[in-house]
Amino acid sequence: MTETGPPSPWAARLSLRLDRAKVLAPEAAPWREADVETINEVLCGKSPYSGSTKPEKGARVAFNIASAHIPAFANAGGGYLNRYAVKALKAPLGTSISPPDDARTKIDQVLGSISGVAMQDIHYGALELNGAGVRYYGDFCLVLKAEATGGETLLLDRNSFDLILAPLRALTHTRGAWDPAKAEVKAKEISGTWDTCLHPLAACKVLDSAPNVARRITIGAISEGVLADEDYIEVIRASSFGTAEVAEARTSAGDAAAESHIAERMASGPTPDLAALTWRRQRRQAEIALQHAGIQVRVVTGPGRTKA
Amino acid sequence: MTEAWRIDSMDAEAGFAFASYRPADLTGEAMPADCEAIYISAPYFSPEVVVSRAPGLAAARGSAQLGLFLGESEVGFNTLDALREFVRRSYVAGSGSGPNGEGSPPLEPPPGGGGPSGGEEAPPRDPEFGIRKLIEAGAWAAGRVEGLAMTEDNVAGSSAFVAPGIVPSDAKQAGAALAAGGLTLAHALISRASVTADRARRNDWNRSVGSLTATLTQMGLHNEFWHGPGLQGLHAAAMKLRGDPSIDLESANYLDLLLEGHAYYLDYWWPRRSHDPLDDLADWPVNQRVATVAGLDWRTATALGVLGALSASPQKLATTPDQAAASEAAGVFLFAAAHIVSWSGDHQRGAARWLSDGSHILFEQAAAWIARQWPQVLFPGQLEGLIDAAAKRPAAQSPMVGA
Repeated sequence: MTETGPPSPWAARLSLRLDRAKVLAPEAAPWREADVETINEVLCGKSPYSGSTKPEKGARVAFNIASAHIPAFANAGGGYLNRYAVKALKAPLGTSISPPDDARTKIDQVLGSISGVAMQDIHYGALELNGAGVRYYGDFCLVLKAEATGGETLLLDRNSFDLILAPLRALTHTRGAWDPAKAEVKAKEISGTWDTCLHPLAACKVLDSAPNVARRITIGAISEGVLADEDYIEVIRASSFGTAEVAEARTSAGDAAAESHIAERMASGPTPDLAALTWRRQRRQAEIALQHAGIQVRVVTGPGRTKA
Repeated sequence: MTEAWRIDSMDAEAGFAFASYRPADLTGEAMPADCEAIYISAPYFSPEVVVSRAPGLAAARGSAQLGLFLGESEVGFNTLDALREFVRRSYVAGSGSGPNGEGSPPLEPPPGGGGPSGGEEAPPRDPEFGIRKLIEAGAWAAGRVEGLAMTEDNVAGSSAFVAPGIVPSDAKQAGAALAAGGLTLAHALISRASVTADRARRNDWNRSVGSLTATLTQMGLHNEFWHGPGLQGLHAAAMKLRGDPSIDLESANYLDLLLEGHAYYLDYWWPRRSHDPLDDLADWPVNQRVATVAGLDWRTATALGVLGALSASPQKLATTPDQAAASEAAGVFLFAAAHIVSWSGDHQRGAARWLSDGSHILFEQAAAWIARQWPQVLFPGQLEGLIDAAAKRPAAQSPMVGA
């Protein structure tokens, strides 16, 4: 990955972190320098064995989707839907309320302005290495092919909704009200584009959660530093995607275990509840649909890198 | 503004929601305030704490809806348990929705559009004891719902639902109640038999008839079904189909199995499509009367959809003026529950056939399972209506197809 033009702010921030770490623990400084190199290699998909670089083994964009929605996604003519597309297709439970300036729209406006992407085209994904994405958004994780992400794709170092919550709220509001101009300034500060900022942005996030000690960071720790639980690097994709853009689908070991537990109890008793049986069936139908679309499903059993 | 448990975002089809304890703030000029939030999801709907509302609000940028509104106002729940139960019931209500099995479409409705008579013989009979009790349980629930109201701030009142017992003391009655549900499904299948040259459609029908026949034997209903009072009506309904020269030999053989019941041990060698009893339930269509009671689209409604809809909202059994239809729906609901239990290790598959009181044992176990599926909390009618709406998504076509 080459940098063109002046160094990005993220490169400067990474340098600052390394300098700070050196002050706090001078003996660990060589390990931090080595860690940055490792992080860069992992993000690129460089094999520690052969030295060859395969983007498909590096960081990619992932979108979580509930198993209930996968058959529709995988159908001919289907695709991943953002809220604008969902709204056009089905009504919500209850009254359909569409405040013209709800929080989502305000965020979309700011990020649209920065990225040059029309609001209706924004699809929010996450940067992922070896995990199963952000489980809260769905029990399956669709990992896009490396070539499906353009160099101009916007990244944020966190969920963009953090802009409206404390402590960033103080920097995006004026006298208690959302200030789009200030919000845009702050959003620019926490964002960057794929081709110029991916490595330093991700390295900053990983190092922020790693201990500053005289030990090398592991691949698993890098993977968990990139995405862990509800803390992720947000990716602003400028269009929807279909099965052709998907490299593989992943599901977590926890969900696979829960599914197996339900099946085992069905075989041996006590009889699982209808909600559990329905969920199991939805997951099976999801895998059938993905298989028909030629997409492999993999259970993620650990954050370590798959051998290249 | 009242603080209450409120939904930040929710996807009823997927079975997840984010919620927080707060005043209503999703539609105001100000950005939503920050506070601790919780996440609930299938299969167990156990609340987990998330550190802020950010993930929940972000989820509404995808498949999840933003908040839950009645009229212009956000809905509130007085306890987290009540909110959790609303999410769970909305998910269960839609159990029969989504693609049908491996993408096969539901069997076609009967020719002529399937009006109230459905083009099929309705087996006239008084409801069996167990079925009457199911309807009484529904009436009990309906009565509780009527007594509940939303507050001025749109916070839902709620009530615990304690289901009355439904198990008959008599084994013969238990078997008769189960067989009644099977008979209703058999009639619906015969009415949807297709003599089309389309091999896939014929195979779907054959498979559905075979699995229903195997289920009837597995449940030990040989006497109650094949020697029961409703069989004559079933033969009459099948007469026209058997006489059709274009019915192929394979379909005719499956029809004979269903009508004659010669294959006493059919369930042993019947090639099940999967180890999931829900697949069978999704293969059995229901008639328009039953679909109407369950609040489903009759063109795509199946036994699985009925099970989901009536598990989530048993009061539907008591809110229809058509008592015969309510009996049929209750029978299908009971049969569907018993089918799941009969597959489970709890029941030791086939036990119902070998024990003299096997049907009674199966009924008892099905009743215990039903009691666990039924609502733990009931809501005012406006919210109950939202749960009903969750059941209505068409079975063979997700709304996202063709996007």
